[in-house]
Amino acid sequence: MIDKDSAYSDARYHYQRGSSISLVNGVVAGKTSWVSEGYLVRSFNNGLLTVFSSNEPKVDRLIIKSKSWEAGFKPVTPVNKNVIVPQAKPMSDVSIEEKVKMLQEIDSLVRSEKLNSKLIRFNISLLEFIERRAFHNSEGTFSYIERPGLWLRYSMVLENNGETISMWSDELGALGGLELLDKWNIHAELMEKVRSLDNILINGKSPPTGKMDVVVSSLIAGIIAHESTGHPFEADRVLGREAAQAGKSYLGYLAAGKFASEAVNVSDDPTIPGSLGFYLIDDEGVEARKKRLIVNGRVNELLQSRFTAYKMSAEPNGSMRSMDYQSEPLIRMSNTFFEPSNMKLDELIRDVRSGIFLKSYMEWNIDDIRWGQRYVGLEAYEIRNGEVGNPVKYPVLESSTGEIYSSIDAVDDDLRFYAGMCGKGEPSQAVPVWMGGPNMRIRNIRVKKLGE
Amino acid sequence: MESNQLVSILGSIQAEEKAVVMEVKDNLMIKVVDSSIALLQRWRTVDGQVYVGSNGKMAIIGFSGNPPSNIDKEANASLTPSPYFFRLPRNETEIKKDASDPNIISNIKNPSQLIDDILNMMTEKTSGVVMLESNERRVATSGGFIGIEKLTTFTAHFRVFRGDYTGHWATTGSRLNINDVRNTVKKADEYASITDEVEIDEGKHRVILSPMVFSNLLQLVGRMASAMSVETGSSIFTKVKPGDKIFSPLFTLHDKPLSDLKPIFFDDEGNTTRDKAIIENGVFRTLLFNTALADRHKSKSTGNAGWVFPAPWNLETAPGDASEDDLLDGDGVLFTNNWYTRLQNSMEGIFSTVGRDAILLIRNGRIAGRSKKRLRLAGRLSDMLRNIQALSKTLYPIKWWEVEVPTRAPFVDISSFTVTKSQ
Repeated sequence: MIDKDSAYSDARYHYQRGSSISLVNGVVAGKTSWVSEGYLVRSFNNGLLTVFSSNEPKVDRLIIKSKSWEAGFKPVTPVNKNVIVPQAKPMSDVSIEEKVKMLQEIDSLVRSEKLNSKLIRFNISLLEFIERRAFHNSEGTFSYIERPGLWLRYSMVLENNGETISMWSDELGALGGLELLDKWNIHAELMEKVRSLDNILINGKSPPTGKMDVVVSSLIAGIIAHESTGHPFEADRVLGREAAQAGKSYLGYLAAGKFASEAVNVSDDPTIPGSLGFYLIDDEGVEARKKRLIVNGRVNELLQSRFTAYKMSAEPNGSMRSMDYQSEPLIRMSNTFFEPSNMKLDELIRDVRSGIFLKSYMEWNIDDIRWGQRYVGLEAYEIRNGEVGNPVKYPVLESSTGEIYSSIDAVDDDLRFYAGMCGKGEPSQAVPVWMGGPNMRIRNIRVKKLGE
Repeated sequence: MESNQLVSILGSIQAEEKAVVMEVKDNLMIKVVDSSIALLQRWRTVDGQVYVGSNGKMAIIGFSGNPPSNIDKEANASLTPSPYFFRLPRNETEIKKDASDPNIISNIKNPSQLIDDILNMMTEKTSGVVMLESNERRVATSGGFIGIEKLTTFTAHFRVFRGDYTGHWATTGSRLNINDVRNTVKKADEYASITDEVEIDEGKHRVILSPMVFSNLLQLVGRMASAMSVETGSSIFTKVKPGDKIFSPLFTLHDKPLSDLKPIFFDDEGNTTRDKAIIENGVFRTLLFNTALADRHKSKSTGNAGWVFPAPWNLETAPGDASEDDLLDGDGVLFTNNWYTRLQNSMEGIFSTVGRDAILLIRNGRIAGRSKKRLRLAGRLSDMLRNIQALSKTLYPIKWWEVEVPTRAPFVDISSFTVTKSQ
């Protein structure tokens, strides 16, 4: 299927199979399963990049001469690599009935918790998937990867005197088999979550506002890393290829390469075993490796493809992925995170006289150059005289990347990862990633109330 | 031929209730970056889904590619007892519709002229996409229904750069009209060409939303109107009954499957689709139902299946009586485009969204300039829809990256809403 007349061409067979069992507010919504199978051929010919997707192994060449945005590509040494991610406890070993029963037990347990408010919605779903990709290109690279994995998603709404608190989570997701369910300790996590939301709804007060120290959890560190380092460090965004979709990057506007404190180190690493962003050869045949995007507060490296590397006189670094056989490969994050240090959470909080601990969030967004960002706390607590205290309702951290990154003065040693879906491209592609970090302290930053 | 394939798939499944939906697509995307071609992508694909129900048990199997050869075995092995099990409507009908545009089909086959036309209408620095879709949608059910419809759509959106200043606009329809594409570039350029910068303070403002922004927020309303969103607790309509006055009397929102944006003649259960008001003059009229959810809510299907998640086909706001100039009278802030709409509490509709491209300060009926900073709209969706005080006469067809369901929307005048910014 490779287009031998092209300067560069690659072909990918992409197979995905999955199933989802859901309980909607306690009742079984049935099992949905799917299979997707097809081929994508990409060719760079006469300076023009063309892509054809089909369920059949066919090639449909678009011979067009036109003004092209791409300038060229960087060749790499061909490789040959096969990877199969193991399942210690294969998904097929457990029947549907047992999986439904497991979800029903979780549902009963959550509903049995004595709360001061009322749990009016609880939804949970177990998603299993397996992905197989076979890749070949005109340089002679062959690669194959098989990625089985699980995702546990849930949402809930609690009500008290007409006031509600609502949340959803897709943070439990990884590659592997059913052994992940034991590892995730779902029962404990969900009981803790429902108690915590109940406490906030009943006892949460209005948050303090103004400039103060904010300690953010590894969950919030993860979303900050993803949104305001990962995305703006995608070289195609910096160059403007996504300008009409996900936008551009502040890196194209910054006068200097330093906008963060020495405590800030951010990496993207697709080689973490068991992670949702795991792969060893990317979708244009380049070997994957860890990229240190920010080192001691300085811009160190971008996520590159063969084509962006050519334009920027850089080297491709194995960052191209695609959602399925219908999707062109794009520069994507894999597992993006703030690097930890050797401090303890206790040390971060100890010398905060008056501030907030932001543990989780619901509403978040960021502008199209990834500079102005906003996170609204879901579980949040006051910090007074070095101790975490009472819950506060929905403090808003709305600031710039420069202000947040330059105000991070310390991070702890507790590196954690969370699953998520990352969107980009047109038609929009959602690919699974991990994002994470340690707990981080941000000094003297503005906090607002929701509604201000 | 096509109906034979559907009947053959249905026949291969041993179950009392069964349905199959297939979409056979030929699509083309022309991606433009900096007024040059960054990518030409063409697709030839088959996607489908099969519903199987038996004795209160159900399963759904999706496929992209050929239907799985062992679909009967797989379906029966996946059957799970569920209150969302439903019986297909008894409807011994065969429908064939052709709403396709030959011009779109021929441009998918040979896009050379279209590419030249697009490049010729670009300003110096324009990025965007023209997407052409040709889709043969097929539905067959054990209720005796067989439907085949041929439809086409085109979507175009462009972002024009004048230095660091940008404007963005979109259009869509079921027939390709090159003038619509040209006008999209022109509108984006009009906003990009406003280069005076002003400061806009945080706080409550009178805000005017362009059809781009309003269409994006109507996606939330459309999704929340699904009866499944009420089941999962992710809808502002959870505690609302038909007949309740909840929004401004000026606001009417229809689901219009028969709209020329993307005409859909039958849903995934073989029900004939019909246009309906979700909100009429500020009064809530109906959720969107499939058969299973209609039964659970003691109602009737609205022809919006989706077997699990009923959804709107095309959204359309009723027009107002204001001209666009009328809406710019007085003082306010005009948001011309937005993205990244996210909810803090979906049952209460507490959200924020980020303005992008031109955010314009209106003073004494004139555009005083564009905001130096990107601003947000933040608050309750219901407050925003309650505060509608005028809508434009002209509606614009919108579909783009942030608007998935084709939507016809006006410029909207909101008397007061909170604007925030990152420092």
